[in-house]
Amino acid sequence: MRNRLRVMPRGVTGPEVRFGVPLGALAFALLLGAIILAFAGNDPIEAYRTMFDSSLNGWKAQSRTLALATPLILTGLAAAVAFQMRVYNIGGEGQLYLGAIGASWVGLALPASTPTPLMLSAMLIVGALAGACWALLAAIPKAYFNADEIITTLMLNFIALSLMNWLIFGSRSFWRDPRRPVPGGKRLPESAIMPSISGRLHIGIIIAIVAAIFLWWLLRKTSWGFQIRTIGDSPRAARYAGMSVRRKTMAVLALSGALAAIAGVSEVSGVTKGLEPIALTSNIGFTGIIVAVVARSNPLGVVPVSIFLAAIATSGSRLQSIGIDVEVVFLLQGLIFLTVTAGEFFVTNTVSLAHPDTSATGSPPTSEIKAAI
Amino acid sequence: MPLMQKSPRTHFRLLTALLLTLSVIAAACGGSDPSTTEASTEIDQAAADDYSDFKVVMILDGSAEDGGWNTTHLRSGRKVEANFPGIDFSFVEEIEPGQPATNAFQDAVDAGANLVIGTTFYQFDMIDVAAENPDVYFLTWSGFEPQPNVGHFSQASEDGRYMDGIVAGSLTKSNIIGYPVGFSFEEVNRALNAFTLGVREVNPDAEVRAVYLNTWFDPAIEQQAAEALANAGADVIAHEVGSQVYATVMAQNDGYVIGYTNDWSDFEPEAWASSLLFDWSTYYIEQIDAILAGEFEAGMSYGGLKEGWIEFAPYGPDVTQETLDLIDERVAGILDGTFDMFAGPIKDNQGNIVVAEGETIAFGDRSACCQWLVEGIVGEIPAG
Repeated sequence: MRNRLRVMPRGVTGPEVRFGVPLGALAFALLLGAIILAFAGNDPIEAYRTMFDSSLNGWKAQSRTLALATPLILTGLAAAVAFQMRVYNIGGEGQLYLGAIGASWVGLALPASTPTPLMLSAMLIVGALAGACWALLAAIPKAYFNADEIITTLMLNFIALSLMNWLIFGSRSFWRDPRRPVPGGKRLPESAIMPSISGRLHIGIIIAIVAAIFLWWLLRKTSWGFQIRTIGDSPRAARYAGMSVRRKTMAVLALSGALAAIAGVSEVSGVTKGLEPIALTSNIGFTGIIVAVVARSNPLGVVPVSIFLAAIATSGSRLQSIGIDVEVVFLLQGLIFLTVTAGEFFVTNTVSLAHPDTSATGSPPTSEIKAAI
Repeated sequence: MPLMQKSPRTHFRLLTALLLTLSVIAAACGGSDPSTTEASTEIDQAAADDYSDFKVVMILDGSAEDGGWNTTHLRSGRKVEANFPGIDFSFVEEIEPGQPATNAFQDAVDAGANLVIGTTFYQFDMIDVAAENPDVYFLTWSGFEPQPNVGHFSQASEDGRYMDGIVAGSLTKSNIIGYPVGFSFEEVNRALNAFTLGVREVNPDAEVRAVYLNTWFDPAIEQQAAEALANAGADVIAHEVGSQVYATVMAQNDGYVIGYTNDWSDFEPEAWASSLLFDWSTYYIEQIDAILAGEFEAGMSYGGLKEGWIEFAPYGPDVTQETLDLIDERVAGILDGTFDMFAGPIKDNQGNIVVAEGETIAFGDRSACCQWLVEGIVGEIPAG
């Protein structure tokens, strides 16, 4: 018998839906995970306690989660601001490398005695400019020749990777430390290191959260932001209203590139403390795209999504050390993230079963999915 | 690490998981096995031993079942386990350099590890953890930053690569040998030089074509490189790191493959020639003995054949007895000090004398070599 799944928007919802649905999804994810863990011969309670202990239980664990979330927030914002205008910047990874290259150049070129605030400001500015310029390499062809930015930004990632590898492995560049047996970057002086807040959590997290609030204000409270969103909804209407789509495209991609690059500045200054291609190529830029999609391009949503993702990811080695196979660990982490994010759909929509004869009544559904049940 | 690395590894992982599952099912169906009872008595004896207070955690950047680098390290770790009955040895895998690695080192320390072994470029991921925990010992491959509780180690690949070169030089008919590598740096160049010196000892007409791929692991690019080398006439390919594509391409072209720290003699057995194998267990065991005796010495350790860090996989079916005899002679020569592959005169491939007549590169100085490629290598170190 063929029934229909009816998807309807919820309209205005209260806190019980806003918070209840994600919590329900989390419970569902943990239940599914428990079944998998039990099948794999592990104790689900012990596994979940370990996950909680290593990511959220106490300030030490929380600061470690926040440290891991810092670059994700920034690359997530980079993707989100572009997505608001329906411009798809897939180049966050490469822009991050450019930020790292630019910032480490400043850190090594300026005298080590430069005061830290001055040094870090210069690194942030040069790093952000490097990322913005890199993004403009895709933005200008997009604005003037309508070149597909998905292709160009993606391809620029590989060029940026090759550039960074060349600086460290392929040449005796300014960045490379000649005394290392395996090539790596010169160490940044103490004045170029982001001060620690607690343990390995550094002030990059403050920069990331300030950037999120600033972006939210820019997009929601300024006419510039209104224009960006209008162009995203309908470029033709925006053009008709006299908005310069070309200039906005370049501005948004440059801003997006600058944000991704600041993630690179934060990593190079707060974590790797030198241009280290091996440590920097951990797909932070690509993960930012996932973060933005899950946060539905809302800058304030990017922060909790990044923290959630970091909290799940940071427990990896602890879970392995209590005897859970790495494959099961990855499966569990993926399952929890996927289920909770998929659960977001039910915050804004309800799904019900309806017989074909009754589906004609009631308010019109946004979409109907035919399902053979 | 590099962008395109994930998917092939993931596939490999899934395949491994599937195979493991099947083997577990097969084992379960097989009923009771005498070896299981044997294993449990071993554990009972071990529990009574002294070493149960000593905890070792090994941190691997890839899958422990990658058949190469990480498998080799884990194999060395298992020998440590066998040498110190009851020792608490464990490992964590798929730990990427950067923040995840720092967290993994911290987790190992928090779990009470006495010794943490980092098997890849973790130098700056672990440096702060080591500084904050002076009572815990660390061994880190390719490290160099001096710390009182940290040992650095690196292997003299040249001792093994020379023998691989002898095999390649004697097997090639076209006199063209392919050698794809990831990046150019001292250790890689040194191994490539030793390999070529070995090739030219038995076959002075042969040339070695070095190809820099600019990736650590990328089967698609490696496939292209292997095919390009085969088309250029190469009938032997030796490689560093990398995947099994070289063996496949060489098997299709009736050529031979020389592996890198893995025994893949069962995979395309007709094409298999040889491979050096690393064994770090002697180093690990020495260091643990030193820690237990309170005589840990920080700093760099560099080991080759003499130190027992280099072994060889079984040779392929087409390697002649004559070649094997020569290899035995050279290995014996290195062990008793009568053979020195870097004895001058050695010319680089630009025609300059890099090691003069009567001189050599002392064993202790080799880890800093080489920023040149010997005569016989077609290829250049990327300029800069």
